[in-house]
Amino acid sequence: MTNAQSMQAILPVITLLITGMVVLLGDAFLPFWRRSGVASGSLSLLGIVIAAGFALDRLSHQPTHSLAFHGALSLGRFTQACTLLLLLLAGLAVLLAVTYLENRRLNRGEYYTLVLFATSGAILMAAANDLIVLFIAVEMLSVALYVLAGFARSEPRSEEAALKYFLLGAFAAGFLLYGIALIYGGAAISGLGGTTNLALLHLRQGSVPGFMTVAGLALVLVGLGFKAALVPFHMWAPDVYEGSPTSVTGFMAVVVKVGAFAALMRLFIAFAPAAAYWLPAIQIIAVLTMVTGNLLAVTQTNVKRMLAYSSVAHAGYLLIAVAAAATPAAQPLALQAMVFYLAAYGLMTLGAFAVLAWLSHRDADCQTLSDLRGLVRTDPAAAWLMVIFMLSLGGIPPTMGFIGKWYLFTAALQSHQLWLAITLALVSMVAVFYYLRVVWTLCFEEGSGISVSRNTLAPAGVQISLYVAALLSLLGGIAPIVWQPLMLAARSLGRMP
Amino acid sequence: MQLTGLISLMVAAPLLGALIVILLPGTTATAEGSEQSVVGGVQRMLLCGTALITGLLAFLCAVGMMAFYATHSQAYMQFNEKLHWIPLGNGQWVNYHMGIDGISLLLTLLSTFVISLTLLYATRSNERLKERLALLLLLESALVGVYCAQNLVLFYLFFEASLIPTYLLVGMFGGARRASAAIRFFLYTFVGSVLMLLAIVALYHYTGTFNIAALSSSSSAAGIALRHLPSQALFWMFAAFALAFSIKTALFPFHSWLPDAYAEAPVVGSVALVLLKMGIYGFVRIAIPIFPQQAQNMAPLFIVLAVCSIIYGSLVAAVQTDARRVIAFSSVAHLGFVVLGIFTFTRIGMMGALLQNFNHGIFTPMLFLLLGMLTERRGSTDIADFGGVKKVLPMLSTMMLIATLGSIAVPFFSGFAGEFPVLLGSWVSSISHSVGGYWPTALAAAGTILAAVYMLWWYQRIMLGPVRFEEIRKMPDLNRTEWAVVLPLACLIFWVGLGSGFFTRRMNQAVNRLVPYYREQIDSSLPVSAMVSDEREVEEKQVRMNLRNHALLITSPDAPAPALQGAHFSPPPILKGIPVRGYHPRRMPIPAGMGGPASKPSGVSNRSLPMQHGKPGGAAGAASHRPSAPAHAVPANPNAPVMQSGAGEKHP
Repeated sequence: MTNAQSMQAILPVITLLITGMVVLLGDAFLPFWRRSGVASGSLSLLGIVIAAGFALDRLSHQPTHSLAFHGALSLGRFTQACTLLLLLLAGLAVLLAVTYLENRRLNRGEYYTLVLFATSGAILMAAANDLIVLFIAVEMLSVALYVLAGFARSEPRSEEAALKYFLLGAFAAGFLLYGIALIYGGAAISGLGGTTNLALLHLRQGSVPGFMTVAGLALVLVGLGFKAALVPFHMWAPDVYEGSPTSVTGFMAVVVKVGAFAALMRLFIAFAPAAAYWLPAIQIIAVLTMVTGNLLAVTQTNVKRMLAYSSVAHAGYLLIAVAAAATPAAQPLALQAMVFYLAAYGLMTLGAFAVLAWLSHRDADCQTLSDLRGLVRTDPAAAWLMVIFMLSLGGIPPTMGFIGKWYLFTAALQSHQLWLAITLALVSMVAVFYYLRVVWTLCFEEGSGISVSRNTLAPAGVQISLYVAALLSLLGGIAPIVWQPLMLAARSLGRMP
Repeated sequence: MQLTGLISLMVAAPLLGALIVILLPGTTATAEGSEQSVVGGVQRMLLCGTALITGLLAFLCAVGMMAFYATHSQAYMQFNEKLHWIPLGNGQWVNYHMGIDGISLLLTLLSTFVISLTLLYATRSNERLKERLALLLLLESALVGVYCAQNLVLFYLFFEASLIPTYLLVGMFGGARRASAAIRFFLYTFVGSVLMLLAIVALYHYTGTFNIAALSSSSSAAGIALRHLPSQALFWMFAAFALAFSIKTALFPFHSWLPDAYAEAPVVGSVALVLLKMGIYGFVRIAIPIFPQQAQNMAPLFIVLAVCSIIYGSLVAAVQTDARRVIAFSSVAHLGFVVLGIFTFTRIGMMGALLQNFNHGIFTPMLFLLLGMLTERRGSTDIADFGGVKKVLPMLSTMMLIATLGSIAVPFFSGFAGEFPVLLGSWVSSISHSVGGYWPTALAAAGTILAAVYMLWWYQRIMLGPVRFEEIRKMPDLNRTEWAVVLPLACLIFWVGLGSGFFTRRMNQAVNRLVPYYREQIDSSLPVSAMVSDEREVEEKQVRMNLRNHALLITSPDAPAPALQGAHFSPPPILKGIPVRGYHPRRMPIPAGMGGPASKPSGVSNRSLPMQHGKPGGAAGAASHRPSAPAHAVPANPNAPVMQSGAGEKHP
């Protein structure tokens, strides 16, 4: 692609960044803007919709060339699918934040700017074809999230979350960068000149990588594993998820995962010829993540912490797709399974956090199981929506979570990794227990949880976001065909040059 | 005549009804008694009207299909519907494939009928009416879906989806220990079904298709691929399915969720639980047809477990003090009979089991509904709190007596029409003979006597004797709605008891396919085997003649292939000049002394009718045109990436 074409191809990202800056400036300098309360949110939403329009346009055009900016970015159909998914999730997160922030008296314009920047970072992570670009994208995402985690400045818990996330995140960024350097060095040692371009690395990759490359790959895995909250790099997740404002948690839980897994997938597919060297590590981490995440989630009484561990567990499930991609024959299905599962995971997790956000108001942040007790009597709509999301997270049909899990099963078996599939099946049984406990609390227990006093002045964003997420998760379970364009697009990473 | 769309309508109508009921205003926030007046007349009518109409619509669809069902048709399934559903890439799809045969038909009829009546029953109470109705409708939809699903993913989807409404019904409206009963029920069945999911995906991995028809036919590419797998793999897959279905059926060692769930559930929940017949259905639709050899090998075990179920259920039922737990344990015993009949591998036993399965879905809900009515009046389910009810409530007592006698298997009542063939099947079956001579049959027959003991004693303690409590004297007899609920069930009990042929004749073809004459396990030492051997010879001759006349190569005599109209893979390849006998040497010598006492002449016509060719298509169709040699597995779809890496030989 020429530079002009490349610019055109990343129009979604550019749109997001421009919108973010406009929102920031408008909020800073226009008093009426700040008073209106919804101006920032709606403008961000508009930006997201326009960006999605660009991405859709590109998706429908089936670009022949996918490498932009001399191979720095790969903007093929896989990237567009991830972009669309990220934009959908970001849009839902913005809608959810409009209400939540207003209710918690946190409504400030920079929130949306940070969300937009983080989303662009995640999109670039999915698109990065060069490890240096990947690093920049990760930082773009992370820095915005560090600030967002501490967005409730008056609350010590939020500050603690931000600090914890930042310190550990900076540490992980170091690993990532060191790993990239080693990979560069490994490429240089081979005599063809150092490079961090994944397409080039893929071309040169033989079945026996050098020591430096393996070490670099391991360190990059640590860095990205931290972002994706893989065990044993998951320690930050529960605290950060619990401390951050609920709207941030929802956004963080889904957007980071999409970006991180797209990047992991691209990285390991580039090194697929040397699968023998990294596949065992991925398999072990996948099993560890699934088991640990699910077992720790069982004991939680705070729903946000429970969802944090559940998102760790889901990261383990997603890692199965990465492991499956090591087998070339199973690669398209693995990619498709990953994107579908990311969509399912994103919708249901965001939905679950949205229910919590919906129930929170100025005096009370809805967090614990006891807040949800007997909700089906006091607020049936919220309760039933939560039931849908919990069933979907548990992978029970007819929800999208089930179809997603089923795709993962198929991918695992197609790449002959029976044990991963069996582990997935076994931990699913554990998982159902704690998701059902939420349903139990909501529907079966008597007594009053959080007082339901709706702030009628707050905009109805969270409701829209909730209903869209619930509808899409159900639709994805009953007629997965609605996600077909996205899945078809995701089947290939695009031609390696 | 083939009507399409009826099945989808039958699934969609209750679903739509549930949606409307949920979205209708009001009536939810009535937790406290004082607020119940909120349930206004119009709103209530709208609510109940929607639920009943959509519920009945599904029932009418089932009746319509029964009316138009071609009893003697050789088609594997009728009223087929097929649409693309889950994309797998490379132009492969998991299909939304629905169809119905005699076995499914009876079960759909049962579920839609009983749920419609239960809906009517549920409208009598005001407490959180909306949720009750919506959940029942959702359950109806899921149940119908399970019985009509023609591919494993769809089956699993509905199988699991039926769990949710049941779980919520039990957990939200049940008795004191409802939450633990509900979660136990859910987790118990979920464990089984996750293993089943693994087996389903493994089946796909080995064969490249999810289609039940293709997998259970031994002549389709998928079937051939399957039959050449190592027996260990087949065993584990069968075990996963069998475990899931045994748990769902509440077979003896896996029954422990059942009594608690049945007894803690509200009345509608108990009925819902009774209607979860997919354990039995799964055995006859999936586990046995897809893994016939494994099922046959394991049959002695299942017969032992079934007899244990019968005896254990009966004995424990006798000592219960809670009226509902008696019925719960009696269910364990009844389902034991059903499993016994299935695993005798005789046509008569199979037919009796299926009929008994249907019966159990009539008299047990009727008992629960009547007990619910009684409990509402008395406010207790303890047997000790009753006595002499018959003097006060003669009508209710009479109805209860009908249901009780149905449950005991008294002749002319439905239970007899089911249990007698099961015992007969067990008597003539060589499998149950190999387990322990005539002991299995004798013990099972003792079970019916025990049933009479505990059920009659139960009835006597509740209904007969002096009126021991003042409260009982004030109780009103059945009102109009209650009559409308129980009378149809009572009629059905007599109908099945007196004219079971009406219900069984549509299952003839399906049962013949399930237990083909050469697989029927008749004990050769019995006089009956000589009697049926003539019939067997006729049938065998017919098959050979058929083959010669049509110069057809039927890859295996048990092929349902000639009957595959509408199923989505093509008929077996027509190859002229290949000697028929040489094809499947290990199948052709048919052991002497095998035949079917229950096989009607229709079993003969099974093979004599001309071929009805379905449209080739789908995964299996692509490959079955080639001369599929049995020596090695033929991949179901050469394009499937799974198969490229070798079907069956490779282990991850």
